[in-house]
Formats: sequence, structure tokens, C-alpha cells
Amino acid sequence: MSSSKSSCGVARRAFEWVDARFPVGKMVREHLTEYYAPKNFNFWYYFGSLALLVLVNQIVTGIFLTMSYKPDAQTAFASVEYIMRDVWGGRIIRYMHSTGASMFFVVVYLHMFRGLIYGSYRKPRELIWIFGMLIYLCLMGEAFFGYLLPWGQMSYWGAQVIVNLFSSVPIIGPDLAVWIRGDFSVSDATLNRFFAFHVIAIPLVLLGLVAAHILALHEVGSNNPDGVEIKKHKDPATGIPLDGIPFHPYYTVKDIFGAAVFLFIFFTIVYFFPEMGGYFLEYNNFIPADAMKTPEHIAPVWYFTPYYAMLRAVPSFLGTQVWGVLVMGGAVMIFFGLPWLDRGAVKSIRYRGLLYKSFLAAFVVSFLVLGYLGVMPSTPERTILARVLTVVYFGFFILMPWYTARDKTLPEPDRVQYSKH
Amino acid sequence: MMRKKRLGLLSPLLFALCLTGGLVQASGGDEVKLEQAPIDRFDRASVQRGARLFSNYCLSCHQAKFMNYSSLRELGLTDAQIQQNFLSKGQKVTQAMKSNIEVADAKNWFGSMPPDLTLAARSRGTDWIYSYLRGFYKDPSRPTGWNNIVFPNVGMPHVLWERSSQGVLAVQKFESLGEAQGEALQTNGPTKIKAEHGHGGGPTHYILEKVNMPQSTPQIAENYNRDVTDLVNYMAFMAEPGYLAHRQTGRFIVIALAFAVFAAYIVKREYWKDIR
Repeated sequence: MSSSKSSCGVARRAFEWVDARFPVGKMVREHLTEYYAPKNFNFWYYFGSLALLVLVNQIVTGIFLTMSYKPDAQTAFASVEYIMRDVWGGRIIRYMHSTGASMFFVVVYLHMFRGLIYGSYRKPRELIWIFGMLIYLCLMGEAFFGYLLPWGQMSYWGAQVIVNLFSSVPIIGPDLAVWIRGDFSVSDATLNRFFAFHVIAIPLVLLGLVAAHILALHEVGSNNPDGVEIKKHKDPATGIPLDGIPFHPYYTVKDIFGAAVFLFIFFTIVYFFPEMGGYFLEYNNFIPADAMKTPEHIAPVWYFTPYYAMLRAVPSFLGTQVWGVLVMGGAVMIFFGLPWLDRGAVKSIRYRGLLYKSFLAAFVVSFLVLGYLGVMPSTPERTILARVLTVVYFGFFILMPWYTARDKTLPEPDRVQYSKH
Repeated sequence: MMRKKRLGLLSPLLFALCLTGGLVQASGGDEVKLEQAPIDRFDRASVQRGARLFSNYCLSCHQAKFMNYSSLRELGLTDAQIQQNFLSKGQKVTQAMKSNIEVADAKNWFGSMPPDLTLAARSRGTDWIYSYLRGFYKDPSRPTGWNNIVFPNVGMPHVLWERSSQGVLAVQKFESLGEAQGEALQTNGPTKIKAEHGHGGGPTHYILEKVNMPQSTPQIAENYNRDVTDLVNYMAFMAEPGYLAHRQTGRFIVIALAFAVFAAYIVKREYWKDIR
């Protein structure tokens, strides 16, 4: 009894000692116990914390993979098989990493969609959105560089195709591609630098951006499914938003529930469907990279296929292929403009009119169908469809100032809507 | 109101599905129908028989360099059993399954080194290998004397021929694709449908190719099917020796996580009681 009491006292004294020198208590208060989040978060609000969970998974499993992986064109493929066969726990770690890569995009796409439907990118949250978009770019880089590492046929030819895009840039293109690869084709030099980018350069930037994303969020406060500011109505005595609840414990327990559901799905895939029918691990990637044999059908992993479909759909013009590359790049970069393109009177889809909802639906369809088209070999009919959908995709953004301003919106409520469930 | 909202979200998805459905129909070309490999990856006896066939026949020319003999322990074999059944004197259990031929010889005989088979069951798929091994037929025009329905003009001879009856190519003509596909469904074995085009360009009729086995030797055909099943079962094992143990662990993990979901839900509900 007395010993537990004294150890408790020691712990408190140790905490006080640290807290006097480093703002532990202040940080916990600002970001957890006294960070007031709207009480009406719904299903869509799980994906932010889940993205963080997957990021941790990728880093931890990545560290263990790096211990046995060899970034060398002669031994890379064999070292992955070595991890899968002879390293203790290697299989599970590798599948957690490969499944994690795909699930990262699942979670992030849903997280971005949440931002889209509830207007979370709008004033005063423009910077949160921009940091988020930069995270998305880093993620695409991570996925692209990481995909070369197993050194299978799809790794090799996927990298070959993507790096070759840079050679379509007028004048400097071919030199640029050689500079990126470090060689005249994808080779050992390319593998080594992609490894460096994958395991240190990009993760470093990514972690910084995640910190900035969360700090910016906690500075202005979270949006919510009603798109109204909870800070407008504060308790005059305490200054706490009337519709806000402390993140800890309410959203920590809620997010732990979300994490448990996610892990249930995640480990079902890891243990029972790690290849996911060839979408998470492509079948051709079980063949070692061979510079002499081009696979019949080169398809990127599913999360890049909407952009890949656009790339293939754009015809060459004025004797150069660079337009497809520009369209593909533009399709990603245009997301950055959202905070300034949207001129709606309300933020949330709940109070938007039919015009916005129709454009959003068309955008979602175009994104999904383009994703499907990017997986399939191209035919003339599919190319035409991809062109139409590319126009629809861009139309959603370019026409946004017009249709959001004209849209017949419903009046926003004064306070958030919450019913106990 | 709620119901309407859901439908609104669903309709673009339905639209997408309709579009994609139409596109799948549009693609064409030779249509090879693979059989589903009737393997049971948990049948250790079958995998062990397949391992014997693999080391006796396939390793003559192919290799499986990512597969160590020691991985056969996963099948419940002891090192002594592995040594006795699969290795000659001086070879070690920890060594990889190397081919019995040299690369230079292989290039001479086949034009290239036969592919490594460690991961064939994952890259090609077990159905493909099963159908391929049942797709050999006599063809005097080929240097090996054999051709294959699944892999036309393959360089590999029918290595298991002495365990099999000798297949003969059977060709049937059909007026419509539907009839040809109907016949393919009836056929026990892999089939291929080719469209024959007239001068106008459109397909005039459809050719169905299949392998006929001599009816006089049903016992041999049955034994051969068992051999092929065992062999494919082994190749599936070799592509992922940890598969069986992995699934066992997976069951525990998933059940444990189901409990975690339930517990987390109870805790969440308890905490959120006072929020109105």
C-alpha cells in the first residue's frame, strides 16, 4: 500500500520536473483534453485518425522491412522473397506494409471526400487543406518510389513508364529523364535513389506536413457535418464552445472504436486476401524485373489509375505527348484551388442545392470510372469515354465558381444538429 | 428524406456500373477457358506427392531458387525425411531447389533458360498451370512433338507424357459464339475459342479447340489428373510456404479483433452517454 503510494508520488514529481522544463501538460491540454471538437462528427470523421494509424503502421513495418531488404538490382527481388520465407514474422510485416499502402489511399481518398462534401477546405481552413494536399502529393511519391523496391516486372515497367513521362517535356525532356533515373533506363542506380527517397527523404517531409496539418487544424478548430462554426456560440462563463466537447476522452474513445473496426478489416485482408485479386499485389510483380521483356499490359496500382486513364486518353498534339502529362498533373494540382473556387453560401452538402449535388455526383462517377478504365487495356471506345470523363472531372473544378454561386442553398442552422444515437 | 439522400449517393455508382458492364462485353480476341484447379492446400499428402513429382520432373530443367528444401518442414517432414526423399549425398537441407541443367545447356536446347518456378503459382495462377499441364496434345510439326492449347507453340516438351495418355487436338466449328461457349462449358479440360473472319471483316464462325484423350485408357487419365492436381498443389505451397500457418494465425487475430471492436463500442457508448 505504502509502496504504491510513494511510487505514485515519484511519478508525479517526475512529471512536474519535466513539465517545468518542457510543455507536456500544456500540449496535452491544447491538443487533447481542452481541444474542443464539435459533438456532431459522423462516420466520415473517422478517416483522419485512421490515416494517422496507417502512417504509423507504414513507418513501423517499413523499419523492420529495411532491416532485411537489399536495395540492389541483383538481390532486391530475392531479399523480398527472403523476408517472405525466412525472416521471423517477415510475411506478416511485408503484407502489413503492402496492404497498408493501398489502405492508406482508401482512407485518404475518403478523408478528402469528407473535406469535399462538408466544405472543410473553406475559410478559415484553407491552409489545412493545402497541407493536406501536400501530404497527398508526398503519399503519391512514397507509393511510386516504394513500388519499385520489390523489383518485380510491374515495379520495373511501371517506373519505366512514369519516368519516361518526363522525357515528353519539350527540349530538356530526355536529359531530365536520365537525370531522374541516374541511367539511360531504370537500373540499379534508379533503385538506390528511389530507396533513399522512399525510406528517408519523403517520410521526413511527410511527418513535418502531418504536424503542420494537425497544428493548423487545432488553431482554427474542426469543421463538422453542418459546416457551421461552433466558436460562434461560447459559454460566457468558461469561453468553451457550447457545441464542443473535449477531444479526450470523447473522440479518443470514439476513434479507438473506429480503429478497431479498421484493424478488423485490415487484418482480414492481410491474413486472407493480401493480393486482393491482383489489386494490392499485382500478379506480374511475382516475376523478377527483366529489362528485355516488356509485359503485355502495364497497369499502375489501383490508386493511380484515374490519373493514368487521363494520361492515356489525351491525344498527342503539335508533335508532343506532353499534354497528357500536363492533364494528369493538373488533375491532381487543381485540388489546391478548391478553397478559392468554391463560392457557395454554405459549406456543407446538407444545405447545398441540386446544382452542386449534381456536379459532385458527376465528379465522383468520373473519378471511379476513370479508375476502372485505368486498370483495363485501352480500346477506342474506352479512350473516348475516358476523354469525356476527363472533361467532366475538370468541369467540376473549373465551373465551380459559377455553379456554387448560383446554387439554391437551404438556410444553415445556427447551431450544429446532434441527435443522440 | 434520409432514404432519398441514400439513393442520390447510389445513383452515380449504378451509372458507373452500367457503363463498365458494357465495356467488358466489348473486348474480344482468342478466348481460352481455364479450368479451376481442384486443389486443397491443406491436403498435406497431396502436396507431398506433388513435391516428389516436382523434384523428379520439373527440376530436370527448371529451378526454384527462392525455395529452400528446408521449407518442406512446413509440410511436417523432418530433416532426415527431406534428406532421404529429395536430396542426394552431399546436398544440404538448407540449399535452394536448383535445376539439374546448366544455363549454357538450357540456352542451347531451349533457346533460353526455362523460367524459375518458385512463384509461378502466384504470377500465372494455379488455374493456368493446371490447365496448361492438361493442355498438351500431339503435334508432329513441333520440334518436341507436342503443342499446347493454353500456351501455343510452347518450347517445353510434355515432360509428364509417360504418366499421361496421349492427347489429340479436336477442332469443332460453330455458327455462334454462344454455341461454342456452351460446348466449352461441357468440356472436361481447357478449351480455346477462335473467331474466324470472312472477307467482309466480321466473324463468320467460331472454332473451338480442345484436347481429346483416348477413351481406351480411363485409368491413366484419372491418374494423370491426380498427378497434375498434386503438382499444382505443391507449386501453390512452394510459392508461399507459410500460407497454411498464416491462415491459422489469421483466424485467431481476426476473432480477437472482433472482440476488440465489441469492447471498444461498449466503452465508447458508456463515455458518450452524457452527450446530448
